[in-house]
Amino acid sequence: MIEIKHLHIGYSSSLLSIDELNLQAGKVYALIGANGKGKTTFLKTLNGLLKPLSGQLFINQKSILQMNQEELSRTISFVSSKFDGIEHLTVFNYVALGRIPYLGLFGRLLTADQHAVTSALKLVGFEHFSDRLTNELSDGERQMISIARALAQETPIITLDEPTAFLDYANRKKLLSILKEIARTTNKCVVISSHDIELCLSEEVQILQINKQNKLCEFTNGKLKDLINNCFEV
Amino acid sequence: MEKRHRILLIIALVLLPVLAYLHLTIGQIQLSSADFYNAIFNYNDRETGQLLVREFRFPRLIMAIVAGSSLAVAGMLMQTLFKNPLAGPYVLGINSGASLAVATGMLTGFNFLQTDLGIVSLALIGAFVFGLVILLFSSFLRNSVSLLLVGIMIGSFTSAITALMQSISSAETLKSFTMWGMGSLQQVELDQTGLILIIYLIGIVLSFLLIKALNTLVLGEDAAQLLGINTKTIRILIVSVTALLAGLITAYCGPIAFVGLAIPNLSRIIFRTQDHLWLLLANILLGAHFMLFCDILIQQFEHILLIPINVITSIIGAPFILFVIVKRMV
Repeated sequence: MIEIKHLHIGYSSSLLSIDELNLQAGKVYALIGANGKGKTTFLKTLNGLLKPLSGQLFINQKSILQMNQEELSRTISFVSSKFDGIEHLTVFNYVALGRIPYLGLFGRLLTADQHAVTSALKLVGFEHFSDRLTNELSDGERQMISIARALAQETPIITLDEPTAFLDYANRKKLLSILKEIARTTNKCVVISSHDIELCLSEEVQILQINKQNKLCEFTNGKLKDLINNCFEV
Repeated sequence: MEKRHRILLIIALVLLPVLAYLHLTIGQIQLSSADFYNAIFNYNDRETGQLLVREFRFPRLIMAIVAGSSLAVAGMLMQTLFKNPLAGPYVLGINSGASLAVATGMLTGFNFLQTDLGIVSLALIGAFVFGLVILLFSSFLRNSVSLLLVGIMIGSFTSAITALMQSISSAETLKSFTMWGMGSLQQVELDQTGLILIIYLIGIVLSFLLIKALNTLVLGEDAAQLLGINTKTIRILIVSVTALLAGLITAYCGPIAFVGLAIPNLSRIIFRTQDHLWLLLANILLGAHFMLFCDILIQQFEHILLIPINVITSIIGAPFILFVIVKRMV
């Protein structure tokens, strides 16, 4: 689904490089790395907010450089680490914003769009939250409806920037298992960045590491100690 | 939710002709319904009543509606673009840009610049240029308070330049500029309203075409881009439409404060939504209501004193904005 070869990414100079990486549908990938090593930069590059400095990045066999913003918005969605909620914005209308790439000139929802919003809310178990206001929810609830918004966007790839950062332990665990369930049942490729190393290892998601040499690669060993040694100065 | 919005919209729609009727009929000189009828269908300019209707009451009514809704919509566009409920064309210096351009035209004395088209063109260009300046600042000023301060600085700077030009201008041009600067809905004649209505309608139609983008901008520019919106183009478009609407009103009515700031907030409070279809309709109607209401108040006192429209909108608008600020802080 995502194929990467000899990629260098960063703002003006290369922050991290990837020799070769293939990310597949139906799986959850957790990106582990120290602060400032380029986790968010990688997600931004995947989403087309940042152009790669060099190398190749293909999504469904098409180079990201050949995709315009509209095409990208139907291919990949992004959930930021925190959504503070917005005054007067209901959960339904917030999730409905995920349908924007499919709407006409005036942005009106058709019946099919409304169904997509309702099923996205159902998938995360928040269908009864439709009329609640986004600024009156807890951090955990807001994170779940943000995931519902990405689901309503109906993209084959979902990326999440530190989705567990503001959640307690129970909600972190719940969120990861929901993401795994979504990846499995809807055959999506889910990529998250995270500092929850132990949780990601115990939930058996695929680990991507940014090592001390600023290289991003898959971590297949499975041992916590090795992953920490690879990525962090301890 | 939609049902509630529809009911509110119907109430607002009904209120508009009521206020318009009051605006037309309340005045120092009592006019009969025959005067209004004849002014439209059998116009005779020797009849004082008909003349009053045609040359004063109708243009003033049209300007109240157009100015109120234009400024409210321009304010809504700025508030959504900058994600800041305290933004508006006046606060951000866009009106000041239009004022400076008009002042330059009026006080330098070039003939073309003193024609209708000259003044409107200058106001639109001034508003657009200063809109771009604010947009430029917004690209590296992430703090929304800083952006407001920049707008206030631009306002002070342009006022100073305008004052400087005033000090070297002739007494006659100074007088006409001072009259314009006080803000009034009465400077327009009926035959000028055609051009005004055309520019106004272009601005409103373009605003409707921006609804989808505005709805996504509520989440911020990055999020809007990730939803497939071309934010670079949209930013320029929003500033252009704001400049068109705010510049138009500044050209014909002078600077009018607080409408663009207060009405978008009032619309959100009443309609309780972030859907810009409803917000746009609300701002068009509530902006018109507010300006009609302010002008009716002015008409009430006209026999004893002439109050500039800017004074009334500020007297009502400023305390309301203070209320909005305090409400957000507690």
